[in-house]
Amino acid sequence: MQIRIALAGNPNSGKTTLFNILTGSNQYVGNWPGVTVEKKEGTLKGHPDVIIQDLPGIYSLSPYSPEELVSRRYLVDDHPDAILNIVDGTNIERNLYLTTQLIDLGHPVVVAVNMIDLVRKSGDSIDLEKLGKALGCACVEISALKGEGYLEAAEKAVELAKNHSHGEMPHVFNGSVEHALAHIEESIEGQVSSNYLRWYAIKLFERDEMVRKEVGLSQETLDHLEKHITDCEREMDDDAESIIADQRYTYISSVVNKAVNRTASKHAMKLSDKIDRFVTHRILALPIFAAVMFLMYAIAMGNYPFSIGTIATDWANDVLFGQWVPGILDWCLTALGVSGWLYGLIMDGIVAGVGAVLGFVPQILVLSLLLSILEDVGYMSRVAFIMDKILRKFGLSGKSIIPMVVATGCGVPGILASRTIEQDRDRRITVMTTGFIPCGAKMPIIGLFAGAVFGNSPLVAVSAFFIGVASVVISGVILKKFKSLAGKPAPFVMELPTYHLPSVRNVARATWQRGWDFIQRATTIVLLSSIVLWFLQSYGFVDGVFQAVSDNNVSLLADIGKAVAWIFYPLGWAGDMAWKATVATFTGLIAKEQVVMTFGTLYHYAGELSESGNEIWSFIAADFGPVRAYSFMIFNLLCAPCFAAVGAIKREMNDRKWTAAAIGYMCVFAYCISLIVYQLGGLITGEATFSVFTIAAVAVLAGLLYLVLRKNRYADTQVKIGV
Amino acid sequence: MVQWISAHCGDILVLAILGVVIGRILLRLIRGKNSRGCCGSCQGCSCTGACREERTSG
Repeated sequence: MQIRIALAGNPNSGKTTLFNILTGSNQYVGNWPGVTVEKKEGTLKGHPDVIIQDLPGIYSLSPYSPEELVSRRYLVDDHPDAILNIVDGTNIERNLYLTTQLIDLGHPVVVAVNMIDLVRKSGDSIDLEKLGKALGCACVEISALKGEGYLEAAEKAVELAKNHSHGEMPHVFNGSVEHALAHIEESIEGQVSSNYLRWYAIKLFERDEMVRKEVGLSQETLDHLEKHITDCEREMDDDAESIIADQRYTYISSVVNKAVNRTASKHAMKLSDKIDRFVTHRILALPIFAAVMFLMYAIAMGNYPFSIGTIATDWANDVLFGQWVPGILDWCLTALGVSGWLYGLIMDGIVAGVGAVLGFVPQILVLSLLLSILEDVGYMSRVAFIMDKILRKFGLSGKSIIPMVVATGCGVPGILASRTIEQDRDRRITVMTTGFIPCGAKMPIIGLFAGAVFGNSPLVAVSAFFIGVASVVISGVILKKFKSLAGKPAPFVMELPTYHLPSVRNVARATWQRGWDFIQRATTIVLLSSIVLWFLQSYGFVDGVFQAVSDNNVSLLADIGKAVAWIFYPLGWAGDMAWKATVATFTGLIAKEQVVMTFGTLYHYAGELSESGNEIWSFIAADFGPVRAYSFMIFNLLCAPCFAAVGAIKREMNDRKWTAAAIGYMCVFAYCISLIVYQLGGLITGEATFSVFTIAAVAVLAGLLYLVLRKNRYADTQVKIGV
Repeated sequence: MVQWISAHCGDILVLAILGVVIGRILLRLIRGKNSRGCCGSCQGCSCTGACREERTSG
């Protein structure tokens, strides 16, 4: 018989870490709330009949956002055999609120007090026997991060599930409330499952709209219930929802007083608090954040003695894909005596294209490693806090920050992370703008131009990141002024996790996943595209005859590129590079790594490139001046994301028109910014001359400023929460 | 025929290897699965496992 155990708990309490060690899975773990937005399933190691279900974090069973709804629906509708409730031992009061609700559900519950190592470290102790007795359920202490006690917790849950045993319901509420609940239970008996009678009664007492609809009571019964609720409210001089919350917290306080022995003063400043005094300081926070980002990009993509990412990438480009791989393949292909066209396909198409992308793997790995460390120690949560203050000044929701932070790895989970936002309008804006953040796949584009045109300056990557953030802010301000997206931003409450040393396992897992995903795409979709691209650039019509061409300027690819390149002429894409840049941009829609692959294939064509992979950089530097290169880079960073991200946008928007609006907006916005950068920047540096497009750029800039500065007529629009 | 094959055996060998590689990639893309058993809609991108809702892993 199959046993299903649900992992439930507050956000960032360690559910996914526990899920990974229980099931042997490799799910992404982040040190901030909202990492899990959909439920995930796995089998307990050594118990193929036990299914573990990882649920998104919830603070209570009254959901406000879509991912909270996922958890509630599973817990209430899918009837798990047992619940393994993960409780953050360092924040036990707040976490036990959900515990009391889970116990009300009537399922067997095991409370796993997580982060017990931190509790001990602070000098506190938790008496599990007293805690279990007070809550009426089994309690075990664990440290998911250190792998302590997790098996005991899982085995206890399996045992309870097999025996269908759950403890006695604790007496959480006072007589008046219990009296009202008894009447409600009596009224709905037979209409809901007897196991859930108490839970439904409490929810109906709280006037939970979803439960009211679900139970489908007659108006007469509802009126009868309302009378009892109102009587209780009058007696307690409070509203029903507050009465329940207040009594739960009162009960939790009494439980904590009995079971938790605190030695440290509640108000003593912990090391985390001391660090936060600087890191989240009103004035210092932003410069510290900028410095951290600069250091990160300097190590991964800079041109300093400590820039290990660049050193390794240079080696990969110059030696590995510049000499070793082409050398070995050249020897093999020559020895086999392959035809010239096949030699060209492999060397000029696949090796040049895939090699150009794979050359950036070291930089991606270093960047991923540093980002994973920042996430795991807890700094990225502080980034969300810092950015929230900035975004709120512009009327945006701070909740948009988590998707942005996640999107630095990949836009797809970034877009999915927008589910933590309750309001439809804020969620739509976030989905529309998350793609502006440079993801891992866009890093090679930045690396390519930083290396080719800007002497490996880390400022290029840092500026790309901040342009992405600025685009989110500007877009948010503009979009919030449209009636369909207007409204006050949703409140953002996020707990800052305690700083801790990065877990080698978590950091290694996250780094490996990002790096491996990058390699996988380079060896699948990028490889296939490089073959197609090689064919299109190697053949063409000469004097009306279809044949192999030695000059790729007369190839089929050039014909296709030239047919649409005029669109980008105002952005400075002119001359021979125009069709190459156009083709690279369009191939980038398949996956952003393709931009670099395209340049690798186009500039490597017909043996133009010799031994050093980096020679491609000199060709690119010759075709792209600094402003043109920057304009091209910005357009590719901000325009429509890859197809996978477009799919994610479609899924989250759940509406074709909104999806089209999002993609259209991103393309138009990218074009406008790129136009301004090239026309006005080029005018200053002398790379562009004054033309009608300069006037157009000024007009676009004025238009953008107007859209940003104009009064928001819908600022006070009330919005509904879209669950 | 034999002469042609012996003259092009290098091409045939390389094309066969290439065919297997491309075939595997295409199969993976058509089946819509990546190595972690996901639906592949994320093209192997930092996978959240969201598509594995009903799938058993581990």
